[in-house]
Amino acid sequence: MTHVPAPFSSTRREFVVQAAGALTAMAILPSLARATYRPASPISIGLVGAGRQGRLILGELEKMEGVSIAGVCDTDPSRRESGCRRAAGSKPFDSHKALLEGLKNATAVIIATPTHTHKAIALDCIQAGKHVYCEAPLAHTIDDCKSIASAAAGTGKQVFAVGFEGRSNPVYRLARTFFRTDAVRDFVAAEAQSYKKESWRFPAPPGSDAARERAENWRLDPDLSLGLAGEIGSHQFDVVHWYTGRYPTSVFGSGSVRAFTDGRTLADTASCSFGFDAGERFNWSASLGNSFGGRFEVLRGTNAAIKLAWSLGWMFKEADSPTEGWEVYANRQQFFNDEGITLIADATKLASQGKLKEGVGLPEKPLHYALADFLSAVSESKSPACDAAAGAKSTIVSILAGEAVKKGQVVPIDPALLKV
Amino acid sequence: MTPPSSSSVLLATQAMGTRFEIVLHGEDEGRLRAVGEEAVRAIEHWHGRLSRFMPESDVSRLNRDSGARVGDDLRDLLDVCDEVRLASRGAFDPRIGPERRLDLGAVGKGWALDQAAEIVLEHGLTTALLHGGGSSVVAIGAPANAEGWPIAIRSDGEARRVLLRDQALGVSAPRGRMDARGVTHIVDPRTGDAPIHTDTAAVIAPLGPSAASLADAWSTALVVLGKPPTTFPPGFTVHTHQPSRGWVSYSPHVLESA
Repeated sequence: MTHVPAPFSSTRREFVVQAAGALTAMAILPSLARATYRPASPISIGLVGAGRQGRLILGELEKMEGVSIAGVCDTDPSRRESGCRRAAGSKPFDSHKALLEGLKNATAVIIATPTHTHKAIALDCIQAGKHVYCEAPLAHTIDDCKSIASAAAGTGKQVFAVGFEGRSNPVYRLARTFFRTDAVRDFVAAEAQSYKKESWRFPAPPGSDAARERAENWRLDPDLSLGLAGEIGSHQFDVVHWYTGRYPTSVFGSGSVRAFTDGRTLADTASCSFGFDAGERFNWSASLGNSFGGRFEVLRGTNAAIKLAWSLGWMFKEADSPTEGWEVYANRQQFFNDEGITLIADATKLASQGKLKEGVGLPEKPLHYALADFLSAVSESKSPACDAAAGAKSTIVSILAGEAVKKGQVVPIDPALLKV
Repeated sequence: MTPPSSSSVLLATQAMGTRFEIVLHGEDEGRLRAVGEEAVRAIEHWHGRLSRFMPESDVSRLNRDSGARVGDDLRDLLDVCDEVRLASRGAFDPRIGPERRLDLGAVGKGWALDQAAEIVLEHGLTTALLHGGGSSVVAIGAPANAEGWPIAIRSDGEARRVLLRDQALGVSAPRGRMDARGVTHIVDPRTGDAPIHTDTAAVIAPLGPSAASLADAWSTALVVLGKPPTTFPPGFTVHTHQPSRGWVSYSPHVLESA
């Protein structure tokens, strides 16, 4: 057996020691099952919202044994029909109230409707005694966020999960364990971006009237949409909040229409700079006009930086930071002048099989893990990775960020607003 | 003849190891872009589900666990593959190697284009050209003042020109030098041998739900077979290029016996 010196004293980790010549990797998390999630006991679900996100959710749920879609609700007949076709055996409903009335035995409801419609549906689902998974951002006003969080808090054993997927992402969870130790050390700054060239315009069915066009394109409606900061940025802001355990105290925003001259007024390019109470800054930018760099978050500490890109994560160590024994065998990737250690969930098991490099990435999409986390919370009566309170706080920050973008100025983030 | 349109948009994406392009003609540029982006998203969605190189894809999951649950829409694609496998008597087979690993590379581009084309048609557009890597094509309607979309299929310096209108085209050709035992990415699944009859096979199918997938799969089978069998679908057209004969065409009413 080959023994590697163990400088750590943390009781949360153990070194897995292998036979001579094999890789040694750090076991950080419980084994990441390569098989698709299966709940401990059967769960029946009603889906409210069979549009784009609803279809993605159905795609992940249909992989899971022990999960049945009892009903699909959508106000649009063709989406409703398409959703029911996909979820064989499900009943169609044209309103969430009809779904709750018709599916009294359903265990849970998943809400995948436009953000500004979440509150009414969420409150009715909570009232009906259902476990709820609500897509993020949670709501489009601060009051709505607080209403949902308050209702969810009063339910006792009912699970309310918010779809900020970073918190259930195995790579993000692994990286967070490093962030909270000397491996990264003192938080210095963070940045994130989301760049993808797309118009955000969705086509209404042929022959649609103006009202239908507007409904399909709620994300471009300045009266309804939280804009880039809310719809996209909120997910990334939540990662920073979760990692640091802190919320910013102010945000400066700016935005403009740079790429799509189709009469829209909502910014298609935006940036926010968040200030924290000890002076740290988190800078975020996004655009619908360019795709370079895609989407990622970087959290910087005095010993290392962590970069997260959805299914992938890396740690970039400072030259003067201590080297851990396992790093000698770690998988690495070169980025111009920087070398990153690839953060691989389930590294120990994969290393023992000689398949460490195959572990780069995730065997399922991040949405899958978010849904699995929710279903696990339901079947095991535990808290989800992102509950209503946490989801409300990150959404409120993003609402204020969106306000800053619209005004092009600094907006304070009063801690009292984040008491949910 | 299609009347002149006032607008056209071109959208593109990298997927399945190649460049996909979508050209849409119509009245409202903003709406064309919105429809095109929806179609591009469908291509990217299927890239994520069919890629052998992505651990989270349906194909990778099935190769890890043959009992893995996948959506009925993927089963529809597997049914298309089975249809061609049986009709070609094994000259096309999506399972490769002694481990019989699933590899949908020969039909994936066509399938992605089929889903993208369905979106374009659902939104009422009547003039569009979609392609993946230049070897899988869906033509909807025809451009202004033309009978069809003009396509040149090239092989060994010779071009076969076709006009496509409401049709799908799949083109297959072995890579590298072509000789009796040449380097090729297409082998006869029944023997493991490199094909020796045909260096390019192009199949044209009438537009339908799986037209591009069928065209892709059959073009791969025909590189192996050399000419269409009697079980070849009616209404499809084949153009093959053979080193010794040049371009040879087979239309439905002049199919030769196997």
